Amino acid sequence: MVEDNPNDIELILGVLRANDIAVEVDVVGDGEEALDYLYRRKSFENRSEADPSIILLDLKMPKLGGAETLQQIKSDERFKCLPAIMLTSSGETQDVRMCYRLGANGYVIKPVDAKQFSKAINDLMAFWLSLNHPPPR
Amino acid sequence: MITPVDILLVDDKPENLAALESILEGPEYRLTKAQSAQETLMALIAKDFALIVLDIRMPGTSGIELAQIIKGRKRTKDTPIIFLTAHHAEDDQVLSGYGAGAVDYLTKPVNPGVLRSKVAIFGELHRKSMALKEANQILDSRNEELLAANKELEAFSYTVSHDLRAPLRHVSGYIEMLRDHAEGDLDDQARRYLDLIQKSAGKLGELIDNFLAFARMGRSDLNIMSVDMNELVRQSVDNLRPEMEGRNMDWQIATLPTVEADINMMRQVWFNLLSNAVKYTRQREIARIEIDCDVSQPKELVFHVRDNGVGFDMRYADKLFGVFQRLHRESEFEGIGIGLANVRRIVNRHGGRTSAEGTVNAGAKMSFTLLKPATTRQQN
Repeated sequence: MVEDNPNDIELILGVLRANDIAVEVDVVGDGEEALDYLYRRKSFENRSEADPSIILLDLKMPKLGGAETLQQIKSDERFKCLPAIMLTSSGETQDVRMCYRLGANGYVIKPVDAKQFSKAINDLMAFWLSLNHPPPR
Repeated sequence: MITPVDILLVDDKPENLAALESILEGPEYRLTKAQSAQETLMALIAKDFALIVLDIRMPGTSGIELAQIIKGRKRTKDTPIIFLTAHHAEDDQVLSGYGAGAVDYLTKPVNPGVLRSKVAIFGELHRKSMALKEANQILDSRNEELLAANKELEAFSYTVSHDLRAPLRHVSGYIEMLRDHAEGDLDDQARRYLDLIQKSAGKLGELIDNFLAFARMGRSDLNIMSVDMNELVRQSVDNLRPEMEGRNMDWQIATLPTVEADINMMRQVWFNLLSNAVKYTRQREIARIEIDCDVSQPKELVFHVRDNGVGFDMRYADKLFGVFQRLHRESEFEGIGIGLANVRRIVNRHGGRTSAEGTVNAGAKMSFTLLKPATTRQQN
């Protein structure tokens, strides 16, 4: 999960937990950290063996934003197939279009309603982890 | 007090200049005199004139040649000239080469009354075109200011609505988590408080989302096409079926014209107007809603939606189309007060106007205008 807002982080983690989506979640605070994580740089040198099955990306973040991060991930052969889901506050048409153009595999507008939010994350994870045949790691 | 207009008098003889000067003397003109081609050109460089009165016979550069120089310059090409000629027959051909209106002539000896009235016409023309130019400049700068202000407001409203959503999402989210977490420990009162907080958060979220949509609509481009209003009304009525269940509705829908508009925006106009009509006729035994269009105006179509609902006090008519303005208590009629603001915005963006008439407890009439499509306009 690439998310800078601590309230959102706990909320998303809470929802994942409440829905019994048994996954291990690593959290980083911005796009730069996300890339460091993927490429095992700096403090992520000794991160877990396996690459993630899915990446959740916030759009509006300090330093390297969600769109730029997405672009870098999708232009690297190694991570091209890693499903990237945008999880963002922006419902702006141009934002949505831009993300899909850059190779996003999903776009979720964080709803204000907590139940909707929970359902959206639940459905999304269910799709990528069980309903859909994910790309091999 | 009138601003005097500048007139240039050109004649090689000082006595002729003096005569012209005495004929045209008065507060409405500021006269400049020139006795040669060179003096004339110097004067024209110094300032702009509303009119040049030019003697055709001059030693050296003749009046005709001088006129050609004046007309050949960008700055003076539109300055009108009145030629003074002694033998009008022989100069006639030369003069007819100039565009009508820009050049005129008078035969000598000059008739003072004729000269005065000719000069007066050019003077008035100049005054009017100057006033128009000034008005246009003011309008242009106002327009620019308005555009800039609008742009700023839109950027502001987007940022505000956008950044407001995040904390709200957290309020809502953590209430749910608290509820799960403290399940057994909460008494009824505590649960009620949580419900109230949750409901308020939801309401605020709805407000922000609508405000965001409203701001977005102001920025999106119009996609103009031919739109059958009958079809849009049919769709809106269909979409409102759930609200009308178990109610006695009397729809009177006239045949409506086709317009040129953005179909999605027009769909929203009808949906908002008709859902209001359905909502505010809720207490009527038979809710009557009439839809028609007045096509008799030369340039515009006037659409009306009349209902026999609760109506409104005409004193508040101007509030009706404002953003987040409501004329009814939440407990009477649900809603957040953005429907008609959207209607007004859409209609305005299409070059039309909105208006409303109503009487308390005796129904309302909502109207909006749209320009007639070009083809229909020509037929009328």
